[in-house]
Amino acid sequence: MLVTPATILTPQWHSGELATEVACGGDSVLDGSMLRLIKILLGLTLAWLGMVAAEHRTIPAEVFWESGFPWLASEDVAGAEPFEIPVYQLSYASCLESFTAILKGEEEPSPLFF
Amino acid sequence: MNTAKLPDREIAHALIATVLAQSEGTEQRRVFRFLLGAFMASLELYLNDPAQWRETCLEAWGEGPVAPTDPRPWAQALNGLHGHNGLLGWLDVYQTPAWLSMAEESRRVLADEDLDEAGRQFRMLMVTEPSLQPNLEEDPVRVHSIQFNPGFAVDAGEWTELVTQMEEGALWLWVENRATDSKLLKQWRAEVESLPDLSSRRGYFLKTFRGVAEWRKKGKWSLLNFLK
Repeated sequence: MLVTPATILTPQWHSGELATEVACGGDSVLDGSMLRLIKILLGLTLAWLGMVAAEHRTIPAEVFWESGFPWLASEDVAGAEPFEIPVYQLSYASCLESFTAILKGEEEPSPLFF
Repeated sequence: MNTAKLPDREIAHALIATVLAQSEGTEQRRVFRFLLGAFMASLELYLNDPAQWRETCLEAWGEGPVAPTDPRPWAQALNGLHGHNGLLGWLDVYQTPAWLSMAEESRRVLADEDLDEAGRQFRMLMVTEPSLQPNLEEDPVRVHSIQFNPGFAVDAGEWTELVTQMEEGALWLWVENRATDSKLLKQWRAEVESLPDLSSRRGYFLKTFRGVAEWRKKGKWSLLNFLK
């Protein structure tokens, strides 16, 4: 358990401080540094609520097609609209297993990836 | 590509910039797969020594139309990776590997109150301006969270306070409104996004906002007033 202070700024950034107790762990894929920041940030949660627009928003599928990287596929996939787009992380073991299988030709890569 | 983990960021930045510098799709795929294989063959080395990884990428850069000193592929790579992080943050996709389903025409952004604690924190880290985030390796004890409205006017003292907080490191998010949508602000943000690395972007932010803070001695003014 850790007690940390944090400055809180509202939309027009006036500040205050919070101290909070935090338990971290679970199955997060974040690294140590990020977890440290999460400990610090937990006190910001209440400020964050309502600051970020809580309105109902959607992201069109086209955004994903336009943003995805195509380079794992062995051929040009311009215009491809896959049903699912995988999300990878370079230092995460399961992702590396997928990369290895793809590079060895044992796994079919998606036309696009994140 | 999820670059929530800090060591991944430099690795991914050099990797994607090198790929984007290639002249056409076939070469981009070849270089990407080559560098990915090289990275996996010496994973620990590169994660602990990003400078070594950058060297490896520069060796693979080749004699294409774009020199390694050209800021464009570096800026484009940074923008692409931050774009990915932003989308993953808004969609609460923080486990990897993950699959983004395209079964529906659009994906709903969950409200913050619908997220669990880890999800809210993850979103904050993923959607805020990376160049202004604090140095996490230094174990910061204070982190400023700033929702910035470029049309909101404040006085010199408040501007100075804001600059101090930006210098200390902040989770910076633009308020989305008409001011953010203005041509002047879009132009300014485009200038930031044309810079090749987080360090130069941070410098641009600070230089501008220091200028704003020193602009006038009396009254109140907004960033938009300054940019005009």
